[in-house]
Amino acid sequence: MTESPLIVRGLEDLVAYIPHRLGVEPVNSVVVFPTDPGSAPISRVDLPRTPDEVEMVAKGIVPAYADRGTEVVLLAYTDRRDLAEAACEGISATLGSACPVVAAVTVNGDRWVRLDRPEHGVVSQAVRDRFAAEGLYRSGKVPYSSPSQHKASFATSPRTIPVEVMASARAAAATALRSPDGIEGERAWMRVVLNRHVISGGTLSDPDAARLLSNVQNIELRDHAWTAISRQDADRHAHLWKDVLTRSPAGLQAPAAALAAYGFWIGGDGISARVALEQIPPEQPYSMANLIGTALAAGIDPKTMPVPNELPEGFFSRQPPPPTGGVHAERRVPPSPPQSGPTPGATR
Amino acid sequence: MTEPDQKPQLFDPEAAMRRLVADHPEPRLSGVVVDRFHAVPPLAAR
Repeated sequence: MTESPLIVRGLEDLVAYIPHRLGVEPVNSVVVFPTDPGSAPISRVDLPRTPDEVEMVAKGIVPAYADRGTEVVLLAYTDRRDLAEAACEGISATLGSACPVVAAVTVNGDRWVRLDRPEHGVVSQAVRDRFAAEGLYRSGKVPYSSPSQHKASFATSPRTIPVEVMASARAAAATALRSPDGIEGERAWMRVVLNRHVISGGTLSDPDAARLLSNVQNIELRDHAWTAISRQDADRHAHLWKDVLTRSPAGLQAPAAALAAYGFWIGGDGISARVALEQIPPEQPYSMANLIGTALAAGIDPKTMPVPNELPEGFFSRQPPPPTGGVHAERRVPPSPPQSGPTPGATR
Repeated sequence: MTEPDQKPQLFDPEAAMRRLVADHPEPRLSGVVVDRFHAVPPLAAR
């Protein structure tokens, strides 16, 4: 589907638009907005409070813009004008002439004040409503009111998969994984369920969520779910895996969190990708999550990630067979298995 | 099984991502978390 461009006409529009693009109202943050959003990412960082923090923030932000040559707007979300000025001055100086700052603004609620010239304004209700309506039309979502509310949406939900349902699914998965036919059957089932829920946006039943979560503990089936994430549906996949993540019992979160993070990253939502990864306990290292975390930290553009349905004709026939040892085999070791064993006699 | 069904079986996403990450320089550790939002929806600034 081709969507018409969303037009941002000036600072009032931009202040109203930013929460819808980020998915969350920025609080005590600095946002860097390129005037050519296709050439460089939008960045958000916590508002620096000391000269040392200003320097660190500037060094963290600049690499994403150094070679892009795009003009940027700096927006400091705070009620402290002194902090806003220090942050914008530090970032502007580090960006230098290669990436000119065309406006620096401090934002406090609906009010915005330019720091680089005597100009200020208030976002009108009409403009707020316009971007809220555009956001609902385009994504069906409204932004979280604060980063803490956004983060809380990734926490374990009261709808955690019941223990007995999870145990049954784990036992059934263990049985299915013993044979190629069983694995192929699970792949086919996953394809149907993922397609259905990505299209409908509906909530998974407990048995379906448990079966998906059990399956993706296996690396081959996890990769099956991973390759199903297309660029156009990435956000829907991300929210499906976020739902599974928040309903996951302790010890099983890593694959769901990593799949959610990947979907958010591919969909251009860096903050949700980061918060999804944060749900993986530190004592449970997971290589897929580490790779996504590295991509986020390095600021890699997700458009450079090959996605199966975009690869050129003939790509798959040229793929070499997977190696039989070394690093490749090593990564096939599944993540830390859960402590609970299979339930004898469980069927699906 | 159809061709589209077979494709994901032959594509190793973790290997692809490992190559992608390896092609980029190590992230500079600035000590701050930067959330980036790469362009996906059509948008024009004026």
